[in-house]
Amino acid sequence: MKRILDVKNLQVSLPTPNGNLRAVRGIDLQVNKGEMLCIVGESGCGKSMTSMALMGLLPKRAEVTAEAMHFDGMDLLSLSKKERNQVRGMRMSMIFQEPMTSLNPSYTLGNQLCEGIIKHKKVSKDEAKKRAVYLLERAGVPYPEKRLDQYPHQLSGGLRQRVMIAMALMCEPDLIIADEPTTALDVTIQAQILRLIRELQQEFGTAVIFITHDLGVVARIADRVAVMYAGQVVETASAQDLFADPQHPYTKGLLNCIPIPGKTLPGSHLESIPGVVPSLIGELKGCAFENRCNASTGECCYRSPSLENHLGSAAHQVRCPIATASFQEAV
Amino acid sequence: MLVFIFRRLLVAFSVAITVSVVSFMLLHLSGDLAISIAGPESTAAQVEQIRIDFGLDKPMVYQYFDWLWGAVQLDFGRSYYFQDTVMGLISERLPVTLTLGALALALATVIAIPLGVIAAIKQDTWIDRLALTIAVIGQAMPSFWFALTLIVIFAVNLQWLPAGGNESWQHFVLPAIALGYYAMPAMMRLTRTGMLEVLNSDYIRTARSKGLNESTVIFKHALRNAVIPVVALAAVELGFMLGGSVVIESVFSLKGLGQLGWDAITRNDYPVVQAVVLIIAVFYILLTFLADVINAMLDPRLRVR
Ligand SMILES: Nc1ncnc2c1ncn2[C@@H]1O[C@H](COP(=O)(O)OP(=O)(O)OP(=O)(O)O)[C@@H](O)[C@H]1O
Ligand code: SF4
Ligand SMILES: [Mg+2]
Repeated sequence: MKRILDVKNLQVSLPTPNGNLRAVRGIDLQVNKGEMLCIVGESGCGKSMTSMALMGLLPKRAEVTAEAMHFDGMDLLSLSKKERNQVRGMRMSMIFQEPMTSLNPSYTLGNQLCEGIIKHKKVSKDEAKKRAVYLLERAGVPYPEKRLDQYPHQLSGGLRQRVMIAMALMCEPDLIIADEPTTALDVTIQAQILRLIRELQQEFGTAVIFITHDLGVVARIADRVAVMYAGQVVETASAQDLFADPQHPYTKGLLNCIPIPGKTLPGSHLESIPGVVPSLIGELKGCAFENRCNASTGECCYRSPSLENHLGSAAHQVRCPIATASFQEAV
Repeated sequence: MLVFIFRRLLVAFSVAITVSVVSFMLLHLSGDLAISIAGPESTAAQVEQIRIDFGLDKPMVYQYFDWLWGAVQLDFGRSYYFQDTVMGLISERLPVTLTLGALALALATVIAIPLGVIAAIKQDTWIDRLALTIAVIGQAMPSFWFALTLIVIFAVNLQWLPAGGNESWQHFVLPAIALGYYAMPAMMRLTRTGMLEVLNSDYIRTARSKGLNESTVIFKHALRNAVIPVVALAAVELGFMLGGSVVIESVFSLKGLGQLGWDAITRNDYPVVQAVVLIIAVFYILLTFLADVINAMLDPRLRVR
């Protein structure tokens, strides 16, 4: 399968009054063409920072470094500003968490849908509009022609997110980053939007990085999953393997937090992982999850675990020597 | 949009009526007008005569409607002091003040908006600090002092421009700079804060995510939204400038409305005072109305309200 995105050791830090906040601490990500990769993790673990770094949308004061950040063979970090603009928007696009505020209130939807493709692909206004209408229709927006002349405030949140999805597809990108696109929506609409993204992703063969804090969502749409904790990937596997055979104590903890239809009785107590996320300012000593981990041993406080293959396969990797070791003992 | 305009007009109209009542009342409640017109050395009989001549013996309500009826026909009576009708005086003075105000506002806008945009883009750099310094100086410096400095430099020393009068366009240059510099800082700061806020907004992030050029992001997506409150401020500033041009007009001996108002107040020329107050107020209301309409054109969300 063709690799569209290959990121090695991505680090993002932000200066704060209390010191350097290291929001992303060495992340490796691979995304194949047409694949749905879910990044899952608690609030504040650096999911948005990662996606903004990939898009090149972080504020100037943020410091971004990586060993490699290859997009379809191009090194994103060495591109000029102009080349980066060309890639962003045309070949990779983004859907944001906040549908209510992500559209410019002063311009019509048609204007905002079309401006990217007119700039990048030099198509005529009419062609751009035609594509916008087609995609709005595909995104389930009723009366697509009429919408082109409407303003964002005339639409509900769910519809605006559909418009954002259509917008992200305008230039036929190879990669879409969707940062919690359903979090701000009603539960029923969440399910519709989720289904829509999955459908369109498969229909157009677009690779998607789908960011969420909800493993339930992951179970429904992901091909592969990366579980993030405190700025690092702690476990990555195919969706199937992750749910069937979770290794990292954090992943297991998250899995205990989601209700399983049929198994979890209505009203019964759902577990949540006790404890708080460590501060991301400065260095972390030992395993970042140590203070909340029920499997930790004395060693965990001192040694920072690295991401290791599980069962000798790079398809399933875990950042926890205890989990890997205990498995080895069992064999 | 039409409904919007109609509603705003209704509001503007009721404000105008209120202002006319208030300005009428203020003068009449500030003392016995007949006595102040007659002067300190007059006899009681003279005062009585004046009271009847000027219609001051009639009930207040009658006087008000009498005056209002004249006012809507642009007849404000005769000046007590100048040998002219009030309307004659005003039609002579108003264009001077309007020209001055419009020039000053244009000047202030042309400088304030680009400066505010640059300051926001270059936030916390020396450019930003320089812009803020200019603004602080503009706000702190008394306008008459700045006006005098301009006269000393450009009229007296360099002799590029005349120091006073209103015969040609050159006469308006220095007053417009003096008045405009006074209005500029507030607009500049508002543009700057507006731009900073908008540049941090989600829709600017969206625009950037589409890979648009930085100039498109700033001028199309950011400025349009940042400038909305500035339009309202500009209208208010112009209103202030019309009312507050008294100082500048007297420094540059421009025969404008401000100076007329000042002369009228010091001479108890109350038909003139009332007319000047009413006209400035009406302009102020018209400007606010205009700002509302422009705002609605810029911001589609306002049109429905
Ligand atoms: N503008 C900022 N300045 C300083 N720190 C920030 C800023 N934005 C985010 N952070 C910090 O960076 C860390 C990672 O934030 P990020 O937004 O990537 O989290 P997230 O995983 O997307 O969380 P959520 O699920 O809440 O969106 C957090 O600890 C957050 O406090
Ligand atoms: S390394 Fe130790 S503390 Fe960290 S997850 Fe594994 S067992 Fe828990
Ligand atoms: Mg986030």
